[in-house]
Amino acid sequence: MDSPREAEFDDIARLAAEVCATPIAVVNLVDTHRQFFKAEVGLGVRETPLETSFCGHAILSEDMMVVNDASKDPRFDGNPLVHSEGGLRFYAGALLKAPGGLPIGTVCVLDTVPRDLDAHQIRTLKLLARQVMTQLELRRSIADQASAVERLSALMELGDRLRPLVTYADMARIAGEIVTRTLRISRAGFGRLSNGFETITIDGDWAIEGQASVAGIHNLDDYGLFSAALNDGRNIILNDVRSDALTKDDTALLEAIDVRSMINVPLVVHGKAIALFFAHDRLPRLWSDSDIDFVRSVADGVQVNMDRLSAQKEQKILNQELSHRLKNTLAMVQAIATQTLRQVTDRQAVEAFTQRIGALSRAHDVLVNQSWSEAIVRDIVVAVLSTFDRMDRFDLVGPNLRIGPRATLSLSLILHELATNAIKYGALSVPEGRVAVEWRVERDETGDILIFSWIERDGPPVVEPSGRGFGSRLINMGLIGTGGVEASYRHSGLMVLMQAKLQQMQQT
Amino acid sequence: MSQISGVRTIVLVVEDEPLLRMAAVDMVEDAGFEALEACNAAEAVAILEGRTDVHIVFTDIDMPGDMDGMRLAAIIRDRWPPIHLIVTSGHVASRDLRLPPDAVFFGKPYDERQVTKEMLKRSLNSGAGPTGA
Repeated sequence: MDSPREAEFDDIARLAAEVCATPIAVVNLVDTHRQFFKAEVGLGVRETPLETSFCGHAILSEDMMVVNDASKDPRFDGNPLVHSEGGLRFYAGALLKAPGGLPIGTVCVLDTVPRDLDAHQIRTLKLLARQVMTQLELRRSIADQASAVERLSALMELGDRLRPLVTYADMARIAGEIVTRTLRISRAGFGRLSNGFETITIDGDWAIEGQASVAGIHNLDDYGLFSAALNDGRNIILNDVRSDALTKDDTALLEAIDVRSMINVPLVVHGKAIALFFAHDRLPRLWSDSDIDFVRSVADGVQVNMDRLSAQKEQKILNQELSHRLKNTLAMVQAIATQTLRQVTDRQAVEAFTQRIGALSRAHDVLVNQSWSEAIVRDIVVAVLSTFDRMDRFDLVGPNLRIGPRATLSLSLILHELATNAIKYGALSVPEGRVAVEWRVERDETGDILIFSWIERDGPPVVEPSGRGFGSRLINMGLIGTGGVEASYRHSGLMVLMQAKLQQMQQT
Repeated sequence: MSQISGVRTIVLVVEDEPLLRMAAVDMVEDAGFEALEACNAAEAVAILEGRTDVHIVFTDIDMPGDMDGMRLAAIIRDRWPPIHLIVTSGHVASRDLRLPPDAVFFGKPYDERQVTKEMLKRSLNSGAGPTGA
């Protein structure tokens, strides 16, 4: 209702004054206690109280009211607008009717002398009233459209911003921020409900400046009679907590947190409300259907992400359980091997076997951290090499890089062999020897290539091994089992260069 | 054999899986220690209540029954503070476990050489080294 002057309405007022040949014309909107002039000619004020106004009477008529001489009309006895010096005498007003027929104001003309309108002037006044309604509806439809677009883009933003989050508190804050901004209200967020709806645990919320957060645990009964609605999974919509039956008996606690109106949307899982999304405003507010729909949509978006979060948690537990079983199985394999090979005199072979099982198990540890989908190269290198108790003798250099599970297993076994050899015969067999472990990505015409190098120095001179043991065969198979390995037995120590297409290394 | 004045280091192995227990007992004996075995935490407590010469407890964490290895470790730390604790588990990381601060952790499958090394460090004659070595 309160809105700036707009040229279209000014034009209508001017046209009404011209056609009816009156000094004054007004387009006005009326509510229960005042009238507001959307446009006026010859009046110079924008608002008057309803008791003294002509339109307050016109609004009660069918579609048109004409007062030829107000000074002779008992309805205006004692009205200062009429009976003062130079007071109004003539009034003709055509009603503005909303689509449901509800009168919301008038287009009217006034004069300080008694007069009458001819049929043409009356027709024009009615036509101008219809024109005002058309303009108003057009504006409302544009505003609705704009608000629908704003809400749609808010929902898309919600999806984008919730997806990466991993805690309920963060989700509540982001969703609360978006709802608060879009509905122009004071606070929003969500909380988890206890089994019998006794309490709500609010993990997080968003409040505009000057408004406090309500994060924490609250007794729902302290605030109103909500449990029946929650039992049925119904929305709880309160336009004014002071007048709504659910809350009016005691609004002190609600008003202490500055809540005069609210929308509460339950998040229902298997027919039971488990959480509540809330939108608070510090003023009474007549929530529209589209406000409620919007909050419902946001709550749905939150629920999808809560489900995602709990699915991820379950998956993690499942992965850990599987990992636990696999590692127990590997431990059994190791125990069977040591028992079976107890009589074997070549203890080195037995040890090599159990330690390779150990390397496999460590590769698995690194992979399980990322749900067996990928592993960070540095983590793999550290996991394998740290078991040799000589971490201070390795120099690791390489970017933060992820590779897939197959490459992780190959790299772990290869590193295990290289380190074992280095300790037995290579740089780590003497106190001053060191090993540089480096990896980098280079690009050639076929794409990105991962280059992994193992360079020993300050060790004893090395010679190429004559035999073809499992260890050297494993190394020669390379990072993805197809070679790409170059080993040089230099005087300064062993150098192994391995390369493979990064894309293949990252395959799952 | 590892001994000082005829006293051997006694290691109590607590493991519910028979095969793994057998391998652990062999590992302990190969290191020159005397091994006792228990197949759950309750049995381990009963053994500890019956004698005072156990020096190291090597226990699995994940065992059936009311008491798992973590609980056992806590009880031992409370009732028999001098006993050394070496703990193993198939669960991923030791940082998720609440163990007494001086307990040593090994993930399964463990490297027998490393476990043996820890046991030697904590044996009665550490410093002297096992006579068999």
